[in-house]
Amino acid sequence: MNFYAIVTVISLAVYLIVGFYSAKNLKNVDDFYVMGRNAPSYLITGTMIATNISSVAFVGYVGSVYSRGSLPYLTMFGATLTSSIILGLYVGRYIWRMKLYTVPDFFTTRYPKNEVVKIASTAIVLFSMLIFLISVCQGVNVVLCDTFGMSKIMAQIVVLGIVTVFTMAGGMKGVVITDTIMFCIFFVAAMLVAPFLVGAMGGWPNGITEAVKKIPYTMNWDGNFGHFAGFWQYVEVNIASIVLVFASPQLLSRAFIAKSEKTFGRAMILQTLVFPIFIFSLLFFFGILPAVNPDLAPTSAFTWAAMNLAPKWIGALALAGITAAALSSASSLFQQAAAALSRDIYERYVNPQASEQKKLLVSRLAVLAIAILCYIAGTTQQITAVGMVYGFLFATAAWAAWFPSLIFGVLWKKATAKAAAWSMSLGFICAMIFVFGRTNGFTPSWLPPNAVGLLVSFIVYIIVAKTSEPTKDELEVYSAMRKPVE
Amino acid sequence: MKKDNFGIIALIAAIVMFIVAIVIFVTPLPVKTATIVTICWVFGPAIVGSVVYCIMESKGKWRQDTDLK
Repeated sequence: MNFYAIVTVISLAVYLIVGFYSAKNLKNVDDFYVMGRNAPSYLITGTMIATNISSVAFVGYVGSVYSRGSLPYLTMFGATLTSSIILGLYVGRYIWRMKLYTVPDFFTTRYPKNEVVKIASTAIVLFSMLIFLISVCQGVNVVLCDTFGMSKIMAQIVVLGIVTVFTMAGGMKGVVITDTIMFCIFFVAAMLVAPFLVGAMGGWPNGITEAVKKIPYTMNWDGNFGHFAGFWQYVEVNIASIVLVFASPQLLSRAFIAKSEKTFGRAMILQTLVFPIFIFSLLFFFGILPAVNPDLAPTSAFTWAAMNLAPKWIGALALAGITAAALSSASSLFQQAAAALSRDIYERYVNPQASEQKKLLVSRLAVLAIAILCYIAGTTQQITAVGMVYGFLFATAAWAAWFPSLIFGVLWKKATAKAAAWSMSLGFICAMIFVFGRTNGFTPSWLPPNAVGLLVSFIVYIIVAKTSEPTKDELEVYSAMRKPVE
Repeated sequence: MKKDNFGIIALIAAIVMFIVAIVIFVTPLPVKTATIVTICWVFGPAIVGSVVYCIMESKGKWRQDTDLK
């Protein structure tokens, strides 16, 4: 085992220990699902960024920036942070007041007595979490196999084993605390590698000036996409970012765990302060790296820089950072998928009278069940290939379908369950048509499936809401949620 | 409710970060416009959010009770 692998193994051991320790005071399902609604701002900030940034950032985005230019990929984080501010200071306050455990809880509470909305929201969260989780786990496997020479089976066992243990033990608390530690590791890793990249170019500022002249497209707004494709690239990544923040269960659930609505607001402000430093340090200079080494495989750009440009201990921390980024996203997806199984299916349909201890046991067993499903899917060749291709597309398209129901549910008095049911169903179907169409070549590749899903679900929601009336129950929930502060 | 200075501190930090980002990332570039716009888009929410937080804090917009009533 080389030095880089040793440092990563040490970091994995730290996550396990911390995950176990966080289980010390876990007593009930409130603690397991939502950390007792006691999370301080800095932990929410840490887990939000860690969940948002997976190995995709260190491998995929860095590789894309290396080959296509920095700005088309940096832009999406403007949408992420703008959405975070709106969530933290406006929409999230009303969601926090609802005292939810899972995202389907929102739909069940806001649109009471509508089975279609209940079932559709549970199905969306379960399948989107599972499919996205499979693709994230595959990303982690690539890192562990390529960087440390592990076999695929061993990489699967390591990843799933670690995440299962600390999620089963600590629930949301275990996930949030380990996420924050992982965020610290990859934040420091990105900040430490950046100066060595700049040094390799010839130093700041003259080295950068000369390097950019060799790769003229790298600081164009559209990189080397060209204007038309560049425009649609901006549309797709910014929509994906907006949908991710407002409508993805793994991020939206962080509104449930805050100590107060002010705590959540502060956490989003902290995020807007920390995230830009991290993402510019990580991505900006990799757009100029082709001036130093034009022959890299794009997906290995970050690992090459960590292992060849930075001192050994910084490189080792950087590689541990990639694993941390991947594990943090995986654990959040795990926790949400398990919550959907236990809260939205077991508690709601199988045993509504379950005791507190029974619910806690089932929640933990649900984590194990998800791990087993992921292992089977991850080692089945066909499912692995499908998961990697469809994973992110499917998940963001699914969330785009329920996004209007969520936003209108919070903001519009005339929101109705009928509108939500039609909007989610038709938006999802249209988005899926374009997901399969794009990957199989029968719809235009430049047309983003999430944009189609979003447009259809918005239009359908507005039309149906205008032609239906909210029930007394729906109006009561809205009024209670929107009661002015006295 | 006791008012805090978190918004003011965040605003100052956001402005400082914005200026530092312009200096580090923009000044060496031969063509600067697109990068300046991107920096405004990515670093801007911190400034806007801090201002909004300060306004909300001064008007007492945060709800304290914990149940939907």
